[in-house]
Amino acid sequence: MFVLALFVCIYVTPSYAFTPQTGCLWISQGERIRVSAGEAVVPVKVEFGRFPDGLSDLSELAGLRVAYAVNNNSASAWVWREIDLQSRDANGYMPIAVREGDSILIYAHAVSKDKSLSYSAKSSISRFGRKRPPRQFDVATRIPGFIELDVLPAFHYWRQTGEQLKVGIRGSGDQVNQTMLALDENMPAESILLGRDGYGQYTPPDDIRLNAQSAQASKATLLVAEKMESGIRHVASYSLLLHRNRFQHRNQIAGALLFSATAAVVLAWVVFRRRKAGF
Amino acid sequence: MNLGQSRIAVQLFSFLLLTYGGRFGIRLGHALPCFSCPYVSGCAGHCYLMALQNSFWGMEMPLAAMFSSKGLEILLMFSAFLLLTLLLGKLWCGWICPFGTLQDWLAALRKKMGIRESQWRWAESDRLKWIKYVLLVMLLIVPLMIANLGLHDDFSLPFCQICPAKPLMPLFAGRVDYFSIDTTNSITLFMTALSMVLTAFFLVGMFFKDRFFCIFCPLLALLSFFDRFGLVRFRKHVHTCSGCANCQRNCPVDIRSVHAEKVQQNVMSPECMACMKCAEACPSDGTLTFMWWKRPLFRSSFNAAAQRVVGRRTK
Repeated sequence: MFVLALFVCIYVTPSYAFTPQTGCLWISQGERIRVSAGEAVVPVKVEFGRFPDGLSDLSELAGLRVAYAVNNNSASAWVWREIDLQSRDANGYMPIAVREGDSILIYAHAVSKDKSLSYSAKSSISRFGRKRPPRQFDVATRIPGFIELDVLPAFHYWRQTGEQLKVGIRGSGDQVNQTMLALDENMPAESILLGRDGYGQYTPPDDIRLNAQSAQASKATLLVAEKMESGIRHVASYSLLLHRNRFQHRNQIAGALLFSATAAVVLAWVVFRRRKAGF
Repeated sequence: MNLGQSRIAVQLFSFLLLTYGGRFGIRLGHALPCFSCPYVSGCAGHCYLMALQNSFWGMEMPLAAMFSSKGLEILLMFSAFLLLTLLLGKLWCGWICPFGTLQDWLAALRKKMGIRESQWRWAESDRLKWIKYVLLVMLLIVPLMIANLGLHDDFSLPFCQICPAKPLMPLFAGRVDYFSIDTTNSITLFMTALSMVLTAFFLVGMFFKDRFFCIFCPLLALLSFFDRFGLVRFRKHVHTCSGCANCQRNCPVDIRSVHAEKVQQNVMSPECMACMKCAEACPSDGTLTFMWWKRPLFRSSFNAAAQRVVGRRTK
């Protein structure tokens, strides 16, 4: 009985301090649809609940706003666009048109019906090459009360496991709990220690399940942080779309050894055949 | 400048242009009928085999999509390849292909070292020449299987994954990272190990045998389908042939049909790379002629053959 109780305790005790028991709001990205050379449509969806099994039913929330800010190579300023929630398809996806050089930040914000909880969600899209990273966009001027998580580099068209990221809560300093959670589709949750400036390092771990899929396959990893302010509990998330690492698994020593060994065997065989033939 | 020297000059220019041209803003597209390897960073153009296999302009897409606007993209890319092929035909192989040039450099190194070229029996040669067609079929079927039958996506670009140009050509751009085993999963492990084995095999083969890889090249197989429609022609005046077999002895890929042909004028065989070494070695005036749009590119002559022999002896 004691062993069973111990097992239950271990099983239900979270390995991190900030389990968003009440769930969180996050943005997931669907598969990119290529329209023409340099243009694509990225379907995005807002989900709510316990990650990763979110619900598209957002009826528990009030005041939901979804918007995105676009910065193109050719433009110096961010362009703000609200998404009409009526444009959602049957699966809850909303299309965002992406052009070559675009950097896009997507935001979603909602509160619980009793207004005791505030949910902020953020993600980014950078599908095509851009010349230089844009200046930061200040979302607080557009959505008051939005708690913004940061991932640096802010834009990457091909985020991979195994690559170190700088993550944090923008403008928070010492005011927030100094940890952040990384929730992953395939891996156990990981807690990230943040420094006094509100930033820390996070390296998405190598994922065997993702490695077994195609090179184009991706998975969602969610960074979540919580903060209490004026009696309101703020839950903020940042969704990362991660691909398997392209370079981490390349073993050059093994490659060179196999190449050399084969070359030696073939060379020996050719020399043997040539000698036999009287060359 | 004789024909051999002209060829070396054109090969060197093509090699530099295709390998480094991209660094100077030269973009020749994705439909080149030669091994201008896309894995060379800063190359000026891409080998058509990559486009033919991949999902943008190639076979890796659902069959239903092929009959939509995607199919038109495939046709457009193929048309670009066809246009280039019809214009220069096998001259792409003998005079322009950077990987062919690398093979010629290895052969030249072997000759400098005083090592004789390896020979093999005709029967062996006849058996091996079918491999390039098998590779061509494979590089067409595997992408279709990925898109339609659920074959794992890590088999994408099946030929590029095992092509020896992929590890070897990026060396000229200072990249050695394709000499590696990718342990991401069992498929990448198998394909990269196979790539290393084949690269070693072909590198040794290319050293001991002239144009060894060309015997297996699926691009040569693809080009050969358009020989009869192209502007480049290879004619033999059968009545003036003395039967000396110089053409056969000087052919880097051991083609016998030029020497053996006694009736037909057209002697462009599927294995021919239009290097013109046979015509250069032929001592009969006007017996072998390479033509471009009915105009002679090079015609065999006693003088040219004699100069070649004298040139060799003075070396």
